[in-house]
Amino acid sequence: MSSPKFESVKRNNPRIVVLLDRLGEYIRDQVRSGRGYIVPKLAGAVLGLSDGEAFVLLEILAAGGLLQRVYNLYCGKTGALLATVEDPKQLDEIPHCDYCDEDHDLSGLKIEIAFTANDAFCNKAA
Amino acid sequence: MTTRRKKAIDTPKPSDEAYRQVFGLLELGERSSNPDIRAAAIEIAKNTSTDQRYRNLRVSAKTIMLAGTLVLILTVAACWYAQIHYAATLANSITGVVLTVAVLLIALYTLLSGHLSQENFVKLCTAVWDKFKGAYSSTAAGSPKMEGTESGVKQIQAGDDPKPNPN
Repeated sequence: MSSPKFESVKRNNPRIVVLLDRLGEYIRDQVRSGRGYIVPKLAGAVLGLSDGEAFVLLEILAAGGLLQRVYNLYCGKTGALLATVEDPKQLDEIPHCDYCDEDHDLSGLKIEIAFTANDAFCNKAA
Repeated sequence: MTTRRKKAIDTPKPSDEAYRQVFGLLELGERSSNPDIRAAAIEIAKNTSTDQRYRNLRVSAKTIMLAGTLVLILTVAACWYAQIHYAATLANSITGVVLTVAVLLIALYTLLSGHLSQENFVKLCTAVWDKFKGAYSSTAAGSPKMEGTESGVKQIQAGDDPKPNPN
């Protein structure tokens, strides 16, 4: 049993239903475990797919309104999460790093592409 | 100040890095053995490219709308003024110039808003330039109104022929 949105995405992509089901299960597990961010690299590793394939599948779910693509901005030195934004333009307003007490430039930052599960997915997982 | 500005332009922005990562992942997706994932990757790449173009706009959509509306109002006002206050020939010429300038301005705004490609903008400018060059050269060569008409041809022929010697 899955959400109507997820079923709709599967109907629109009939030849990758198996992959979508496996990915859906992985996302539900992550949400249940309290992990808010779905990272393509990790999802790909678990499902035996390349980073790119996992990203495309996650994007398909995002286009179906089940996920939201976000960008996590980390301090390069300490690895602390500085900000999470949905619009990449917001990354240009880099927040002050309280851990290093300085304003990092791009070389001192790490950007990670991730996805967060929307209500449609969260309700199903609950 | 110039150096500082140049540095600001040269320094890659985090948003550019984010897009670079997205395109890197999509490139990997395009190499998938699954044809559906490949097709989806290409489609997402197209959408992301368009999205990036819109997000990098130098002018906001609201400003473009206001400027476009203002240009249209000014164009209509200028054409109306020309038709009322000048003779028909001159008024038509003024209207032509005003409309051309309005089209160019609106094309510039649509270029800045990301709805018109640079290639099409250049094509439009070239077409306008050719039109003006043609009009200018025909004006410089003689009366453009007479060209192509029967009386015009007769006038040219009369001008070219030497006057018959009365002797």
